[in-house]
Amino acid sequence: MQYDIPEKLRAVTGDSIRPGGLILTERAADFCGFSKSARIVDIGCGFGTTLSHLRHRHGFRVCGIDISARMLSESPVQTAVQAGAESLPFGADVFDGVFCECVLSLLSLPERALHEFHRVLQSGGYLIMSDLYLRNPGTRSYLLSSCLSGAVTKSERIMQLSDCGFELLLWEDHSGYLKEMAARIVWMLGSREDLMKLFFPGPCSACDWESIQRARPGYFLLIARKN
Amino acid sequence: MNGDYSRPEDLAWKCRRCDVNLVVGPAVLTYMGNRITADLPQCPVCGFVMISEELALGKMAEVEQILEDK
Repeated sequence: MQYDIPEKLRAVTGDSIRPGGLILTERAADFCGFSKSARIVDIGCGFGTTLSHLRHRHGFRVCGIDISARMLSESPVQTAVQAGAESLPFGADVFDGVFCECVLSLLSLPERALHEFHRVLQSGGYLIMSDLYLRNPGTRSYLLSSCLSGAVTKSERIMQLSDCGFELLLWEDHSGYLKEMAARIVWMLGSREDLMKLFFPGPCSACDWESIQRARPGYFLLIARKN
Repeated sequence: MNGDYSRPEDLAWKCRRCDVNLVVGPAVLTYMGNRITADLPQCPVCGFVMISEELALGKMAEVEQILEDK
């Protein structure tokens, strides 16, 4: 599997390519209170923005994985390798923290990835995740055939975490950042139709603006601990 | 994220108060706590920004609607 971030999107969001950028990364790092020598892995590290930030601001020992060789080639942090989130190239009980920012909803096997995150974390280690979610549960079945099918509701995501052995410590809604990013993209590109084409380039019957609005996509930050 | 939203005809306008031609420069648009920077025609003396009808009723209206959505 290979993917590339549209340059138009990168121009709007910067290299973090997600709502909230490094603000939520920093919020999570502060919450967890990692030691200076903490070992951190960033899942879907892309251009290495989070890795670089955590290394230079906090001094953490960082590494990352991403499936895009092209994005990895631009990472300023060399400890990033090409791999999938569902099969991590690390041993068990290695990391103090796993960051997974705006990635899980893009995966075809999110539960398997969560099990992998649990496996590589030390006991008491933190999972830091930010992602899209559906704030209108009633639209879940309708969206199964759409491009937003990877986004689930808050309760579904929390249940997945619990099933994998995580204890939820924090859930925060940050949908304002998603809204702000959508507004900036429309401002940059010109219209909502251009926004839709950017995120849903393929044929998708459920991907009209009204359907997306009905699902009320939101954005969350969560922190969970391996028990 | 500076998009250029000026058209050549916009620069034919003069600021009535300062009596100088408009120039293109960065302007910060704020709506519901969100800030967007854009290059827009404005008076180089008093900073008064001109927003065309096309921009106000088009892209700007769409952005406002997104920010107003619950």
